[in-house]
Amino acid sequence: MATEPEKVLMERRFHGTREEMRQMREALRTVLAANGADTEQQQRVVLAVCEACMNIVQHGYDGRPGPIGLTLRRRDDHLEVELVDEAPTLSPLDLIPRQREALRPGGLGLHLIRSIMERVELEAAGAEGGNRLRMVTQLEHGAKGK
Amino acid sequence: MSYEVQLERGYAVVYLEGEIDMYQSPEARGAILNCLGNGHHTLVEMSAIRYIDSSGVASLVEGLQTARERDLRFALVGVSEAAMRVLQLARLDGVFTIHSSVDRAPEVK
Repeated sequence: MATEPEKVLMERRFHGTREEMRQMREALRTVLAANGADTEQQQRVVLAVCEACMNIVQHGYDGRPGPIGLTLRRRDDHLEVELVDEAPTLSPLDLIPRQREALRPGGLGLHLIRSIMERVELEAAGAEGGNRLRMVTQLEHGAKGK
Repeated sequence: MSYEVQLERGYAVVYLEGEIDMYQSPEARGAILNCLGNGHHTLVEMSAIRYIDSSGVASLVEGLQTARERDLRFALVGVSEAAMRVLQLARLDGVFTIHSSVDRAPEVK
């Protein structure tokens, strides 16, 4: 099967404020819909991306908005979301969810991300700190050639 | 997000509307816990929820736990498709009592 060239669908730099998050969700839904993602997948991907952004704000920037770079790419029938921050570098071990109990919401955001995305990878973004989070999922749709 | 509370069928019904993320969930949490704190059996009406994240779900869990501690009824009502998907992903859909509408909740005398 021929491999399609990678295509950047969305690039955005923001700080994770309330209004920016709302705008980002809208923009992401629009781009996903334009690429044939059904409503369910739009909701799931938007949730995973927002959970990851809120983790960056809460844990990386101590609850204050800070710079986040988002790139959404499409390669064949896969979507890749990359989030780059300037927070202190995390260990990939921080991405392993804790054991969850039904009524303990702690770690729920990470659990949701892992449930939605096929692959989640974290690496240092540069020598001076920062993190690059890559999340990949298959595009579920009926409009592959779009 | 916006909310409204009405007394119906013996419950305080918290009507939530819009998007609930980390920034809005304290308001939703406050509304729910306030009803329970005042001793009301509580329903959270979620048919107009377009988006809810883990912090919003955590507020619902806290409501459920508080209701259990106070021996009050607590249920979700008319849960939108978007919100139900998140509850399912969180594997919490079986933890909450869920009614299709306020009218379907058993009346409290």
